[in-house]
Amino acid sequence: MTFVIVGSVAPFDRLIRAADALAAEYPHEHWFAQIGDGAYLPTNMEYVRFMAKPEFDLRLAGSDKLIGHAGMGTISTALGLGKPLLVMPRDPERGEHVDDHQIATAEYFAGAGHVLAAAEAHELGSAYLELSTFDPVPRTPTPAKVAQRIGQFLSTFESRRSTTRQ
Amino acid sequence: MSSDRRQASSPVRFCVGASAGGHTSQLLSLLENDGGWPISPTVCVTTLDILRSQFEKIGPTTVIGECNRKQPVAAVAVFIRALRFVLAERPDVLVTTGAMPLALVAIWVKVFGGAVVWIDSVARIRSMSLSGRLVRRFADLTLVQWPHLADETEGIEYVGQLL
Repeated sequence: MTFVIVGSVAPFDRLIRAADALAAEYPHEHWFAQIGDGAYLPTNMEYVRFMAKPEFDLRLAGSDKLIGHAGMGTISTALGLGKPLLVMPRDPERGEHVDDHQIATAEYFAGAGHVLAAAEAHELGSAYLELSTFDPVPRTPTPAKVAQRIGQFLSTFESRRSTTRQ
Repeated sequence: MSSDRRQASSPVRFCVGASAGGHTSQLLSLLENDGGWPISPTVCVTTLDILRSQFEKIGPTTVIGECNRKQPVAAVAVFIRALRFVLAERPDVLVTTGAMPLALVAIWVKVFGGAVVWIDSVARIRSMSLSGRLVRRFADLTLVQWPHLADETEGIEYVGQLL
């Protein structure tokens, strides 16, 4: 199954429209989309607007290809499962986000081999062909280091508090 | 009502919060890797109802709604809900991974004497978020997730990446 994800914050009709066109081109493939508050309703794939985490995880488990916006939630989910993901960054010029940070995210993560990226709708088709054989480079984040620094802060904060209380 | 509950639980009212999507993923990644912090989160704040069940595993959760800099009316509503939340819970410390709604919570936490830890999103590669650039002016600890964004003179630290 190809699972198309726009995230829970904002719609992304340009992506859904392009994915819907691909779904028409590849009808033998099972398509499912999460479209948010989008105005465009797909005609060639099943869709829901939003999903709670358990249902989202079930859909993910049943997918072998992912297409999504270039949000970190979507990217890290795909990398965590080792699933191939094709991203299209939200474009602020088209009102799809407040600024261009998804463009930078798509460039960096595609450059590092973690995801495939298509900036424009007309590039989605050729990138999709690569997706079935795309083997994402695993990413190794370092959350424990961040947690350690926060823990250090919380310790000084805790002792500061007890001192002021005495 | 809430003061009784506070005294019964941890003496430090420790709030964690995040907006939807990657912000929540980053906060959960942090909490899964805490490795024995001296205090545990006592209360949560997030922005969408569909996230409530994920946050309630950590603690009692308040939903304040989403907004961004292009939605001034929504932002005012979120700012007011953030104030109500902070008045009700009076966090001693807030740890957040953004975004703008949590920057608004951070302002109130600071106004009422709490400490603020801001972790700018890993999605911010070229520059810090607008919210991060605002909050770092009063935050007690500001972290970025890309080494080139760290700034020693400004006290902006890089120590690692959550996602």
